[in-house]
Amino acid sequence: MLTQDKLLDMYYRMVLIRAFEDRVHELFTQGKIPGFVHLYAGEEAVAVGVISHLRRGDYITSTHRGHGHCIAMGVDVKGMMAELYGKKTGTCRGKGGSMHIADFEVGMLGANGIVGAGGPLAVGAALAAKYKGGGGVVVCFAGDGAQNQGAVLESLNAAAIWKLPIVFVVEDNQYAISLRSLSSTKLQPRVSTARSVAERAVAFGIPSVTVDGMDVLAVYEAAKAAVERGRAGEGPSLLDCKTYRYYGHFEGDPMVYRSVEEIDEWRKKDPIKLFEEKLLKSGIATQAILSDLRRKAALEVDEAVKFAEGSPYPEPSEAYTDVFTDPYY
Amino acid sequence: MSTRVGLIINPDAGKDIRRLVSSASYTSNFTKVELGKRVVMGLNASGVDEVLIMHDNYGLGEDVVNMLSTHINTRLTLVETKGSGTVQDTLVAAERMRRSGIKAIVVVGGDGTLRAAFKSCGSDLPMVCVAAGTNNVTGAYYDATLAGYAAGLVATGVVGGECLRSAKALEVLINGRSSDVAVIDVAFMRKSYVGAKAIVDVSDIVYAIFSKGEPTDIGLASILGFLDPTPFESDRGCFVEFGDGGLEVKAIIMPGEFRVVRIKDYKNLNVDEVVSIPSGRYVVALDGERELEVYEGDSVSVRITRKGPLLINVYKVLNTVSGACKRGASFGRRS
Repeated sequence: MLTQDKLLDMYYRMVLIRAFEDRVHELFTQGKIPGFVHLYAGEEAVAVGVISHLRRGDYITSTHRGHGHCIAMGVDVKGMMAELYGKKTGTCRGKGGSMHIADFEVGMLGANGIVGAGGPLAVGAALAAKYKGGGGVVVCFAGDGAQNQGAVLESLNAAAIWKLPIVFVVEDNQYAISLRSLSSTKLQPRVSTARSVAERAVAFGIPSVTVDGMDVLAVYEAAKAAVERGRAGEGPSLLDCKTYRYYGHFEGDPMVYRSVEEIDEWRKKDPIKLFEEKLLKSGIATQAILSDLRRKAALEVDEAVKFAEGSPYPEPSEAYTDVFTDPYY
Repeated sequence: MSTRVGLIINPDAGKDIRRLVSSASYTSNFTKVELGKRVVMGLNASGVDEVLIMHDNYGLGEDVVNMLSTHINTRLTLVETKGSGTVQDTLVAAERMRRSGIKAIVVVGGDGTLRAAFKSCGSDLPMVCVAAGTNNVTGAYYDATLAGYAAGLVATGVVGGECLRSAKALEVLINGRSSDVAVIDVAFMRKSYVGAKAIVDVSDIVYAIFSKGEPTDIGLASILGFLDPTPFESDRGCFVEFGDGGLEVKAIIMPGEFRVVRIKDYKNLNVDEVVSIPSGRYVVALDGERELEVYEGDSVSVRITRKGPLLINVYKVLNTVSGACKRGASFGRRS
């Protein structure tokens, strides 16, 4: 049963992700953030709905669009913002940037600049969890485009044959960069296209479901079943979450491949608004409580920006530190 | 005037959370296209002039058209929707098909798909559901070719009303207003959200109203099937209050999943009877899918009516034709 505290915590994490991403969008436009950023706004229900089931000792692997996963896992927002700024106080001491934020302390094994590269990492982490016992679970987030990477398919196979505690979460935000997922994932071999990677999981013997990725409670419920399967030693599951990203593939993307009308249609199904309506109607929260939480999120992001802007850059002499791990063999 | 039949292939049927919590099969898009093709081949054999097929986001209907249109006499036409990827597509497509004058409609999906088509087409249009969902109380387990053939024979007038049966319907009234309709069951659950829709835990159910439930059904209808078997044909339904103190019924709630359900009390309902539900906060499931939320202070009631979908009895259609064939008659196209 979802308690009021839990529901409000989920709401807070969703609005914190949105506030963070909206602010990064502004800051990037102002030229304050170096490198590349890929924003998660619109997809909050997926990260929060799934990660709400994880506990200490569980792990996630993420993608190039990883800010939402980080925040849902509890990565410090100040450290994240400083990382985006390339500052010494960043989560990875300013050496990783947006696409490589990792925080092993909270189980975040890393955003990843290589599409689909989280799959093999998740297999390794899940193999370790199975070996150690204790019911640990790994969640592997990946987009619809990643489902056509060989490494992802090999990961599905390895997870199935080794019965690993992995929940594969497909964030089908309708586009692989600018290519509609309808065109990129061909599941009708003889004829036209049919986009549902859930079908592929079935071929590997992995139970899979299609989920409304704009509804945090629908994601939560499906993820609960999938995580429980993993903890009980029943092997991997796959959740095919239908969602949408509000911003471009990357900041600066001219988005010529989709219409304003299409974006507006999806915004009508906004996951935060939808959740707000449910919380209000069911009496879980009042408008005042939700406003306070939104204000708190905005303040947390303000603080993070101040922290990042006030932090020093790494010294040139540190250019090669924190970049390579020490070999242990 | 040409004879038209509608075909809706629901891309989302047979893919929900019950794949994770029960032994329910995943109904793949590939399977659905094959089912759709078989329906069309059956319709073609019956002599139907045109099949209107829903255009869906996954391109399943499009696949059927592309694969068959140059090989058969029946014309295949896609019916556009907004492509929302939700039940709205079925509602819109079925409505457009009805307005185009279809004589029957075939849906490939589950009880939810049939319900959506019924909501748009009403209780006078013959319909048949090819089982591709999870519990499939209304779905025909005959081969899809036979279902298509039977629908075509009804549409072309080879067989008549003797091969059709009227199901019942359950009208949900909230604050005096008709808010929605179910075909098989309406369940009131102590749950705070709709979430993943499908019912996976019957212990959440407080009240349920059934129009149908037989021992060969699974899903919530299985409860009535073991408690007090009631076919669509009968003029009664049942109101069940769940809880301790009465009977225990072992029912099959999902594929492979038996549950002991505690029944505090139950009573038969006559057609047109209205049941008032005690005020409270409920999530309401219609035909096994959580859809509505009602709140403390709402006045909620359910009316059982005879105005459910007009279902095609596939066995009866084919048996009628078989008898006529023995006497030398032939139906539909030769090839």
